[in-house]
Amino acid sequence: MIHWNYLITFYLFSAGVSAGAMIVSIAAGFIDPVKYGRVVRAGAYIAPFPIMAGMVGLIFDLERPRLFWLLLTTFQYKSIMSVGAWIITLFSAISIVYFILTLPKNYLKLKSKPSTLTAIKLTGLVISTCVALYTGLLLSTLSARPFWNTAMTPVLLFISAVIDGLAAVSLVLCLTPGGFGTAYNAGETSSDEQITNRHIHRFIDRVDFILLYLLLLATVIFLICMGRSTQSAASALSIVMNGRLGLLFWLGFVAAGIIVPMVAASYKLTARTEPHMPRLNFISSVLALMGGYIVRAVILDAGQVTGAIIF
Amino acid sequence: MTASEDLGKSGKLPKWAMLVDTTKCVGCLACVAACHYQNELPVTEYFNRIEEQEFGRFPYFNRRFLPMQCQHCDNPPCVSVCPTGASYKRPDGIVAINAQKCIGCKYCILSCPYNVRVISEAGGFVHKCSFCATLIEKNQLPACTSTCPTSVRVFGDLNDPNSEITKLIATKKTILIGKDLNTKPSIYYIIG
Repeated sequence: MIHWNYLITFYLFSAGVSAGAMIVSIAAGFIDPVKYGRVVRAGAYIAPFPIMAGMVGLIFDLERPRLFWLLLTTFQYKSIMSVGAWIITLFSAISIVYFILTLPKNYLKLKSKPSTLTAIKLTGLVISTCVALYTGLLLSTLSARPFWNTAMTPVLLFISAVIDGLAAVSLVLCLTPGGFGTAYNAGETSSDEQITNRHIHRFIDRVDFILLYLLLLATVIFLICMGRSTQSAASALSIVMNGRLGLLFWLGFVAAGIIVPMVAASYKLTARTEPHMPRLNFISSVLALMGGYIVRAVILDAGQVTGAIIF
Repeated sequence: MTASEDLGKSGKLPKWAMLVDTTKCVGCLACVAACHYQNELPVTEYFNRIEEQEFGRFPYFNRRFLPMQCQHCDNPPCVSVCPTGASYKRPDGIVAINAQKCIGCKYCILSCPYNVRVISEAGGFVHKCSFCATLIEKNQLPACTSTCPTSVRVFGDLNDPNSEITKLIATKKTILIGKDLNTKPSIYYIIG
């Protein structure tokens, strides 16, 4: 019986996008705040919002939505959900602070010392990592659900969260005016804006390729371990491999969510002349985000079909 | 034997447990009906159900009716996952739910390997077998136990060395369902 439906899928997904965007933004800022300034800003502007929508979904999944505030009246350290509720509250606060501090200087006349800003960024990095891990740990700590109860589940969902965050950043960069900038053709002299955009382009493609490769690895390990596990794990796995969820998993997640964006990224990185393909960036980002949603839907669904004890 | 005979004999708080002798169970579902009646449940919600399961390996195997309800685990996953503290373990061993604190997140339902927690359609909270705690307070046996026409169930206090259940567990071969999941259940089964 399915107890957690698409609302929880959406919640896990949106928490992943928010946490991922925050991680990408802060990490890009640490690497080179000038070169990757647009990545930093896009990530900071995205981070607070998907998770807010996800929280609305979560609240309406409760049987008693009006009592949701009870989550924040107690701290049950043994309950991943209780710890997670507090982590997400902290994340919301810090992502909004980070959002405000990243806004153009003249907008809000807030000034902060560089050391304070670094402290906020470091805290933000830790908390967004916790959020991205929490969505997987929520599932993987239930010994009653063999399909979730593996150490690979949180790893898989964490990598997927960062990919989704990066895809959301890339999508925003495609859609904002200026987008990835005007085409830069070999032989022509490039403007400063074109050079910056080319750097961003390369940065996103490189990071995306590495993360997609790790996600593929995590997925393969997850499937192999699941196949060599208990009988109820195997029956959940068969639904994913060739049953009701097979098409969604193979086409929606593996093919569209990993392979196509990986091929696109590697093509852009290895082509002799750096191709300018804003449409391909757009398609890759949308597919990666779709894959992120689908893998969560599949894992959530398959995990609930079987229990550790077969009756 | 009634619950009152058990209570207090050991000089300490009782530790309630149940023994289910599946060799006597004929699958008549009287316990399921009694449970429904006692807990005033709608027909779609069950605290107590009867599974059929095979034990052993051919040719040394048998098929048994397996009455299944909350196992009142000593290491209950439903209690540790509850984000509001609505699910809790009573000192007498009963796993109970404070319906007022339950927000209906269903995390406990997913955490339970016995699949015995149900959402109350009317109230929106999670409820389940309570070992008929209200009847125990009145020194009566749980409804399923007193109803059973073939005396499948024995209910009693594990802290009392002279209770029937303690003696039976000491002398008969019993199993715990899902023991390897480290839930430490309080319902013992005789498979025979």
